Amino acid sequence: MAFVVRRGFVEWDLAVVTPEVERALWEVGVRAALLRREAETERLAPFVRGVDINWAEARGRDKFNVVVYREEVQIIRVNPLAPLTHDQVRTARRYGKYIELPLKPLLKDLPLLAKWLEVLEPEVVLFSTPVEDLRDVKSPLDVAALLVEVGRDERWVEPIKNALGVLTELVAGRDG
Amino acid sequence: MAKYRYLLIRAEDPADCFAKFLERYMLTGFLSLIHPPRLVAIYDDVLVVGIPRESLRAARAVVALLEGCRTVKVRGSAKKAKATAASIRNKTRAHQVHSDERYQN
Repeated sequence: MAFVVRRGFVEWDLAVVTPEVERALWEVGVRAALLRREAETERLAPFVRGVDINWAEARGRDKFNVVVYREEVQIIRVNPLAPLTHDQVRTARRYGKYIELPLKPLLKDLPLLAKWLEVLEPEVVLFSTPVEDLRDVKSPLDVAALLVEVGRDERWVEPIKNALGVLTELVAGRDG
Repeated sequence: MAKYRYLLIRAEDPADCFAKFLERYMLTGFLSLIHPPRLVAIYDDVLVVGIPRESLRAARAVVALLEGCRTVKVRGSAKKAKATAASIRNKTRAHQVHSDERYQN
């Protein structure tokens, strides 16, 4: 990987890459992004799902129980409308998997977000938002503030602040 | 006197963003009744709003809930906030005004 990123945040689900979106993300401190497919970026360090990072999608709890044991999977994207159980989160932790939780639908349903924060652990979760246009761009620190307020726990700032480290770790793990 | 912090919020429609921010400002807690937010200025697509320092995190959480609004900078004084906003604003709309004037002349 030709990019070296030392400080900044990660956008975990950059669906559409345009110069405007990239500029807006850069402005709020995002320095690396996980893309859905290969694309040219001007500013952000690009990582591609399925190429740089192994991921799987678990629409329901049953599917989660299957993919969590798969060795090659690094990130499991879950269905935000179907919260996992404490046990499932603990299993993900034990097997070194990260849980990707799409945040967008939860911003409109805070009770559901609170329910997720109750079962999740800050060390194993990655919050993603599909950025399709400028309006979807959020400040990572705004989102972190919301997580801390809703979760009533200062540790919820960590998944946002440590995301770049996690991304580096996942990419390095893939190479090794 | 409560210390204020100034959020620079970029939005497609800053006036609408401020209206929505006001609607939810009570979420920041009891302080919101004592120290109201200060609308400092709107520079094209940048809204400058002052909030008590103690409410900073809650205010940012409110911004996270607003669609199409994002905090891009935080400043410690209204003067500095205005200077920064003036330098980062997207002047597309201002250009349009100039060109209209030229057209009228």
